[in-house]
Amino acid sequence: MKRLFKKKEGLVRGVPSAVFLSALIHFILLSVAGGLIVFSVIKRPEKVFVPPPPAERPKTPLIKPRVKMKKNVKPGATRRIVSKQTLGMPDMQLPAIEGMGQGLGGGVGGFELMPDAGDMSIFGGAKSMAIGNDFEGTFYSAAYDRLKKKTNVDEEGFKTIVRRFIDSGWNPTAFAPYYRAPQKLYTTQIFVPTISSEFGPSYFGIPAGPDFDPYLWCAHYKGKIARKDGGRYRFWGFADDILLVRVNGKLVLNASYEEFRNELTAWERQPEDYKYNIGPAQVAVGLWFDLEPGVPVDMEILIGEIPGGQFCAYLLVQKEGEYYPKNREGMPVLPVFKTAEIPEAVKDKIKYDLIDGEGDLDSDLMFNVH
Amino acid sequence: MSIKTTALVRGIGQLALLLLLFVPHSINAEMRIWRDRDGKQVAAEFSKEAFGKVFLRDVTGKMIPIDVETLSSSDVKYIRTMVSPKIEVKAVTKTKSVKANEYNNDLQQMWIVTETIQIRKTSSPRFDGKLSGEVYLVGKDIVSGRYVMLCRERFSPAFSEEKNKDYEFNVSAEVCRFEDYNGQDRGYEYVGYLVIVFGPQGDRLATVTDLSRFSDEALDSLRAFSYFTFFDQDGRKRSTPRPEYSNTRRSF
Repeated sequence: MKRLFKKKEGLVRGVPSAVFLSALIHFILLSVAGGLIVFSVIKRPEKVFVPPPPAERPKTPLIKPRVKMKKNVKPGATRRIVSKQTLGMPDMQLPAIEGMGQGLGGGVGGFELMPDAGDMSIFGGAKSMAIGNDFEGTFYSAAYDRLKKKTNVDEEGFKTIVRRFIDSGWNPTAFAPYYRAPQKLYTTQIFVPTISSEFGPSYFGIPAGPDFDPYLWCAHYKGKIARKDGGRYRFWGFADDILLVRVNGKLVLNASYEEFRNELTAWERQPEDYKYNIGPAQVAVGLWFDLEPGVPVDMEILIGEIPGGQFCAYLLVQKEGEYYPKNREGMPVLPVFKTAEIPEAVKDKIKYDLIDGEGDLDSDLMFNVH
Repeated sequence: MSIKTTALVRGIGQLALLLLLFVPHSINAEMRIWRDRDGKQVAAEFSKEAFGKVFLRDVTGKMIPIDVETLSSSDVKYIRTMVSPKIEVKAVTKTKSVKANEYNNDLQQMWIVTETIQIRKTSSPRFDGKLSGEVYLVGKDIVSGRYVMLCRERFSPAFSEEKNKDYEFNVSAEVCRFEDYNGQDRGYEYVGYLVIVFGPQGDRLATVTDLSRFSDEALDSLRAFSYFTFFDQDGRKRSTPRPEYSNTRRSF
């Protein structure tokens, strides 16, 4: 019994060895399995780029977008703004001062200054007074560069620049290296009686005085003209120093100062040139040109001053076959070229320097497009 | 400075302040219904405002003092915006010659005349409304003797308590003398100014001018003239003087 018991004891003693063995086997198995999990690298096959085969696209013709153009496209009728001279000030609604009015009456300290309709100069106003019918004027000075620094351009150089402008088809890039006034002016007539040449720049917003030499400057005006009844016309004019007029791309008047006339562009003297007085000198006559009834055409005008001193640019127009009364010298009193009624205040300014009978400011002949 | 002098200066200052406080709004006689915050009404016209009271005159001529604080908000707004303040207007003239350079026309002399218009609010009650005004600068043609409008402008000063009571601005005109192409001396000289300031209801608060040669009627009529219109001493429009005819011009 005791032995048996002892055997039993031996059996009991042998159990831990089996468990230990089993545990060892499990440990080895787990270690092998864990190692496989931790260290096995999944090696994916490297992708090799293979370009797809070209898609088969059926050829389709290109479709251009179509823009419908109306025949006879005309801007809507515009209402002309005419200043009434008889209104008392409290009743007048005036636009705010900009550009031109600065320096002459600039408001200070909360005052809201309003300009006068009569602020329109003989070179034009800062704002359009007859939308669609006016000429836009741009001022250039070859005496200064774009940064308003003095250039070394002299009279000959300036004439060369003007020639370049004319020869390039009146392309303003000829003036691109030189000073251009930020202020543009809008006018419906070109008729500047004799004034001191510093008024040219000053009307374009450059204060008169020693800071700006008023020579080697010009103003390029662009617009359109039309006559309902069409007709044949020619310009008469005189300028001290530059007055060139182009209608529909063709030079029809060179009324520049005689000394510079043929230096600026080739021009054949007309039989009726320089017969009658106008302003400080004698009037030049242009070439006839035709206007189709109601068909607007481009018109450009170049006026300018070369050496400084006095400036003027008179532009009159004559209709073929029309009778005009004659002044004391026998010169027909021709209408001042215009595309709208000239404001009374502007007429007064012109009259102050215009001898009676050297131009008709009140004629009905107008070249308005609208 | 001695103690006595300091006290005297302070006393004068206090007296001046007291007087300033007593300066009433100018009278805008307009009969209207006034209401207080309790809804009580009275038909009266504004007489003056002083010491925090509004003095109203009723139809019988009786003066009714009312504390501004007791007035309805619309009535307070009325006296702050529609009752004109008292003002003083001054004009100071400066003339500057425009220097010629070698390219200018040496036959011409030109000047810029600048009038500095100064407006001072002399009444103490607050004013939040808007005034308006007109300025005219007049010249005279040296040949014909006709007057010419050299400048006309409108302005609208707005006073606020934050700002000083003084306001000023400048208006300018060019005058010139020149020898024209016929050898004739021409041009125009500066003669004077006319400044008119209107209250918020269009009432004329101040008229300041040195154009004593013009009658009141003539001054009124020149207000209708635009820039560079010529007129006579009676305020009647005249034609523009023109250069004389000459046949001695340049022939080519």
